[in-house]
Amino acid sequence: MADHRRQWPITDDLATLRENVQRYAEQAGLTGPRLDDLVIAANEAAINVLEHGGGSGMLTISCDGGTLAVDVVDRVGVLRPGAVPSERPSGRGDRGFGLWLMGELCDSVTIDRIPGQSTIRLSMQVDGDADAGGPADGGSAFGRGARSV
Amino acid sequence: MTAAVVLTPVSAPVADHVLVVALDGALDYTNAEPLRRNVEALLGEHHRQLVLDLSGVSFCDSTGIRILLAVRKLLQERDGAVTLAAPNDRLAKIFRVTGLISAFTVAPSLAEAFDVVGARSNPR
Repeated sequence: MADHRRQWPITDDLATLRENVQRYAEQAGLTGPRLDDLVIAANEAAINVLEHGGGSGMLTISCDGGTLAVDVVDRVGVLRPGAVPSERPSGRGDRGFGLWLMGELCDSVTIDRIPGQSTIRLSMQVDGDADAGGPADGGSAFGRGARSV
Repeated sequence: MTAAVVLTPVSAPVADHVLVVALDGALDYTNAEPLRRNVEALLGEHHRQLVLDLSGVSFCDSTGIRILLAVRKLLQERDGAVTLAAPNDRLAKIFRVTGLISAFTVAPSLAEAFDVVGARSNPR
């Protein structure tokens, strides 16, 4: 399958980043509440980079088979695997809250860390949603013109 | 930075102690902070109830939620409360998942929010 990866730097222009993620995910077949969930989770991951991850990083989105993946990389590498709380943290302001929220919204959240770099991967299955879409939505929607969001 | 959320006071058929404000825009990490100050600036001494019309808010993240909780505290300090009206599906979802929905009264429409504040106890 051709590599349809797209990549954007994480800056304080979160609105544009959300639009980019939404447009890509929509074209990959994610719709409705699950599309909202991924956009919210990707935004939370980007906030993490701005707030705790050194202020700059990169968001990469890709779709491999039926799995849509958003990788958010920071250049600090403090975030460690297993940092996603399973229970809602009591303080809504702390870092764990955003991580917990990502875990609630996405099919899976994994964290990889190498010295100086942490990656949060948000995954969503798109198969079911694509099948439930309209007649023109079967399979990959790549190659069609970008819809405005 | 995300464009600032615009606050517009709404004149509505409600009691004097109720302030109704419509919010427009996307509330996120980059622009949420001023909202608390802007709400505070609109609150008069006599206001005990705040209704926020969220129908024009396209997005709210965890930072926006933190600020909404700070606004709630502002009203609690004057023995009042905040009612959130007409959140879109995306906002309603995040309010539900985060538990914010239990910290506020959330009304599906502005009219229903007015019913809620009308039904609340009168100001002292």
